[in-house]
Amino acid sequence: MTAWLVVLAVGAGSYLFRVLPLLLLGRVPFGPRAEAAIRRGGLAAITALVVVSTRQAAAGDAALPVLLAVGAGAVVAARGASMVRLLLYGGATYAGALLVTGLLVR
Amino acid sequence: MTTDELTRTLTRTRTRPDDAASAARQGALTMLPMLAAYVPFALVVGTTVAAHGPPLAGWAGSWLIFGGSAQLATLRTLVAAGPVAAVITGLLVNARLLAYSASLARRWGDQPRWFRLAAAAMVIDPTWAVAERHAGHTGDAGARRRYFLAAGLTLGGGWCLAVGVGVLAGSRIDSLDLRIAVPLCLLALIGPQLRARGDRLVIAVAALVALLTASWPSGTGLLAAIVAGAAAGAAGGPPRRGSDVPSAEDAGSRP
Repeated sequence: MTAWLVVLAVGAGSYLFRVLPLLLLGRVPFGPRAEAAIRRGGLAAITALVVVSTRQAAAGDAALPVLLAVGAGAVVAARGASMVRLLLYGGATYAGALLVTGLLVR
Repeated sequence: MTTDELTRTLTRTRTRPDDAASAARQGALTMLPMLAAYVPFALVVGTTVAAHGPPLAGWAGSWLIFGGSAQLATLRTLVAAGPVAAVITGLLVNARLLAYSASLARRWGDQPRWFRLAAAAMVIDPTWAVAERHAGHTGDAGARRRYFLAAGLTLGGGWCLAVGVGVLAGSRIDSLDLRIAVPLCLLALIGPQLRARGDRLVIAVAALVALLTASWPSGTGLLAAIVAGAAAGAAGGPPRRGSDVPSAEDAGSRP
């Protein structure tokens, strides 16, 4: 029961986060700087998530392979690769780095 | 035809207005490769659900919360620190949705209220990214509606299904370390922005603040990074816009 209440509470709050700006901010006039800040807020959010998720994935012995994979992914992403291709390149880099570091440790 | 060629073909500027089926088809097909790439992340969420309490309630979060990072944080905090902390953590992680919706609100000023209410349920990282990119390719409000709804429903249905598979598979796939999929999926969403000078400043500032606030309570560092990145965006001036997409200001001048 507790788990259900928690999921419902987070779900309801998340929906409010999603819907309130859509209902309230659509036609509000903002200055150019505020407009720029709003337009780029989403980009800042995803960037922060990249950093957070990279840190989480890099816990333990996987730090170097994760950093190399994310670095390779950033290069590939900047060149306009699709998500699937980026996963393949990044995943291959991760697997290769894991293998090499594993062999070096032995 | 490669995936990149398919995506470019589906999202390039058309010389005539999209018809209903075409816009919806484009939205669904554009989201499919992203959905495929998100499957590892969904499996991670599913195995976490299986390991942390009632599976049905945990799985329901895949469509009620509709955010993998928040769902993971909520479940882990529920076990570690109780329900109140779990709710606060989940909401803090999902507070970034305010930024996505505020950005889309400027694009959707000309959209009907029913669409904004319905589409709100599907606003998340990849749908925000495809909506922002598609807005630069067509000024037809109806086409943009159908495109987003199709993309959102494709992602939502596939995401819930994949999380369900993870729940059912449970510890059988625990040995696979799939966490690397999460940052890679997210990188793909901001790939084009890595080349734009004004956006690079936003990315650098947000990344730096996220690193510096890594030890802050769950979600608060994320919010600080969003605010810092948005402030850098404000200092950098207006982003480059699609030439034929009505903004909120343009929509306000219509009868």
